[in-house]
Amino acid sequence: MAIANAPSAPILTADGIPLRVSLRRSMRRSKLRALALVLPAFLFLVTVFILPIGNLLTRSVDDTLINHQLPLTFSLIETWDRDQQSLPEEALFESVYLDLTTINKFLIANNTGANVDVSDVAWWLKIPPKGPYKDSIVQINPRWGEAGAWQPLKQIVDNSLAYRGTEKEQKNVKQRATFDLCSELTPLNNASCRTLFKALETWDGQSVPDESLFAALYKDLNSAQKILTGKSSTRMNYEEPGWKGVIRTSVRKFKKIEGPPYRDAMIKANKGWGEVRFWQSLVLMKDARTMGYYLNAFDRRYDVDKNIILRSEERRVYVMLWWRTLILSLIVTVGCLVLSYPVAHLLATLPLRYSNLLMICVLMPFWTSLLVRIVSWMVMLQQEGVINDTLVWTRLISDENRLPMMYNFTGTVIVMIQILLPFMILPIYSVMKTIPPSYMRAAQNLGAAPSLAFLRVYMPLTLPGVGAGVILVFIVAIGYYITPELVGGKDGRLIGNMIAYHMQKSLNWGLGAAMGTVLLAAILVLYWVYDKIVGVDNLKMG
Amino acid sequence: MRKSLQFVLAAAIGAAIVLPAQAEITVASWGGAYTMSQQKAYADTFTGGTANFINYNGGLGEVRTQVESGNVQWDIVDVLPDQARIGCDEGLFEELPRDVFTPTADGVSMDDDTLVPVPNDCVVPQIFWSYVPFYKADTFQSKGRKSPKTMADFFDVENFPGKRGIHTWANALIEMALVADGVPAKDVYDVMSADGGIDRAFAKLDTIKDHVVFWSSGSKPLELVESGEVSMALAYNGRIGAAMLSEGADYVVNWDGQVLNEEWLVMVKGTQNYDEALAFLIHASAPEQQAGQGKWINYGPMRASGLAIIEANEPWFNTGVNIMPHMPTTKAGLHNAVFDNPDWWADNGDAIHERYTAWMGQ
Repeated sequence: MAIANAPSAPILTADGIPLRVSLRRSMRRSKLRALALVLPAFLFLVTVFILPIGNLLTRSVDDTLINHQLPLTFSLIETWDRDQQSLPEEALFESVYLDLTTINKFLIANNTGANVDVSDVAWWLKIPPKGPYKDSIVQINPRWGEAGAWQPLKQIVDNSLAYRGTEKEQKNVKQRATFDLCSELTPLNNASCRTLFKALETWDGQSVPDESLFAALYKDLNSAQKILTGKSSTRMNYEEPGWKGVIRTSVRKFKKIEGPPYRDAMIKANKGWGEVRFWQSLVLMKDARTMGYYLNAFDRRYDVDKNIILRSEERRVYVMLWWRTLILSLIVTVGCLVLSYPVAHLLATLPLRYSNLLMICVLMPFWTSLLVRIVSWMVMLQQEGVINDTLVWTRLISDENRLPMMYNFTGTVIVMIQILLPFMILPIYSVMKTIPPSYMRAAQNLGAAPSLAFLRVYMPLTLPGVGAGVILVFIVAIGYYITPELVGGKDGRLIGNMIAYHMQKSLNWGLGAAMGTVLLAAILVLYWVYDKIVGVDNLKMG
Repeated sequence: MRKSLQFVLAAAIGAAIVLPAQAEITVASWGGAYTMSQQKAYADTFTGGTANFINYNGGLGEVRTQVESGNVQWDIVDVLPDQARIGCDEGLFEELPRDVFTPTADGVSMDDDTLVPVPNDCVVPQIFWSYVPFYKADTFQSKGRKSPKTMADFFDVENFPGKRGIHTWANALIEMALVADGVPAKDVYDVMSADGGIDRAFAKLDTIKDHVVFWSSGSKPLELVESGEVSMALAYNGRIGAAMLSEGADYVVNWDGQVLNEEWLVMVKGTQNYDEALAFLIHASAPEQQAGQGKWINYGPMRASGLAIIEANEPWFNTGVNIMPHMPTTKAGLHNAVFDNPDWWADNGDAIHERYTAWMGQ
């Protein structure tokens, strides 16, 4: 009994600390050490993988920019009876006019989406262009009259001034601060609040802000407004071609409009304001989150009542490209598999000195520059190229009927198969290498014909390598971009080329991101299917 | 975090090397003979620092990334007309003071000396270049027919057999198709804006659809024509000129229906070398340097005074031959030429591009 009672007192280690605590402590230390070891890899993953993909996902649904540009319009747009196919009332014209010409939206605290309070007179107050600015800005939002509203901005300026370094570094830090000021005040990170920076430099940070600060704020917010309008017009043009021109001419001419009523003056400035299609497209940009880019990626769009409909016939191109990408990737994968399997088998079974030579032949192209390989294929395959010349010379085809093998689908398939071959050969080879030749002999000893032994014994054993190769090749092929760009020509260009176009040329990053996300999702689905059918545990990369 | 990293990096670099006395600026341009001409005419004669050229593939994707992440690596970019407008509208370029640039000898300001109106305060004049059809001089002779002269001939595969090399984007092709279909060059954009105008252009493109080889990089059309893969191709006039002037290629260029494009220099917003970059832009846009570029490439200077210097001093090309016959901006060349309208393309470019991509794959 006495013994049974004893353990109720905790067991102590030599230095008098309870064993449990001491144990936990040492466990925690070793856990921390393990964590420290994986930390670099983890941070690497976060910065180069998770953050960009997160960014991609957000961009593909994000529509906040346009909401910052047209807050008042979007709050009032539901009042328009859009089924009538008639232009909106004067109130909506006025709200668009105000959204495009005034900076009130940057000064009001609750200025986007559902937060906008349309009963607040601040939206309709006008700041006199030639000043004085302080009274009207404070009227719009009384907070700006207090030093407290300016202090965080002053802090940005002070921080940059406190920086010590070479003259050039100091200059650059100050320049960054002018951008930081603007991104504090507006949704933009490429606007520079230079005037405000100078005004804040001379302000002591405590006294009641004076007219000079307000004048600087007014000036910088107006130039930020110009940039925001430029970016918004790019966004609006995706929804309805022609918006860019409407906004560009309007911004110039709106300055001359004296006052209400705005409707006729706006239509006179640009006749686009008299077209219902532009107003309808505004309805579609109202929400801060949109599925519009994904719809676009599948040749669909919203109609004015948010029903999903097909885009106009001549603009339907993406579904075709998705199919073409999918089919081409499948052909390339199958082609690679058919060519690789015997090569890998040879590699695995030949005597070492031959197999080494063969291995070099496999790896040599792998080490050669991609562009060099593509260009040599061009030389081979083009209509005046080596293969066609040979065929004509041997009279297999006539000079007029040279085969088109380059700058089309066929060319893309041939070049991509050659480029992706090593990705298939190497995993299959590494698996074949581990299969003892005695298995085949045993099967044949037990009475199987060579073909049966191959089908029932050898081939199942190579499946993990085949699976790995297939997945590798397919995933690389589906996102391929350089080869199709160079040899694709008329019908060999893929979805990757369209993503590049939108990222670099049209700057429609939302659509590019949406297509990228779809591509990523397709690969994940493929991986999941593979796991269900073959099992990921069986995957052997080498 | 980023700032402290930058600081550590800057300190490390500062400790490792002695900073050069003069700043280095980075200019992103298109490479090849074009960048070489800029190097010779602008950078080699520039005394306010060193200008390093790097190649880029066009588009504002990189510039937007740099500006919006606050990590600006390029100081100056050589941009196409639509990018010059979109980039300035979106606030990706610095707006430059206009009175610092060199006027002509007669005192005409730079902005009044350009061959087209300056679209905004971000841009500095560079050159004019054009999309233009060309063929090997012996191609149509040997077949015993008359040789192609007009844009309509380019679209006429019956009388002028052989494949045609055209690019994989729609710019200029829509305009050319309409010119070939009989629209006078000056009315092309009116037709394009009117109902059915684009359909008409695509209908014309359909007539050569089965005889087309597409190219996407500037050197390709020359290879296609040289190897005989196509009998005629559209190309950048500077590439054709380089082959004719420097390599002695025997090509014929048809200026009828050419589509002229502006090329501008801009400064990337938030550059760390504002003063040096501005000095470089002032230098590069002066009439002497504008003309000087014509010693090395047959792209027409954007400034009228630059063109005048070349005309007055022929033979101007570095090999001692006349350059003016190769320029896109001569009187004869401009007879039925289309000036690309960037505003039209800014409005409609995406829609047309999608339609064109669909057309290519059909």
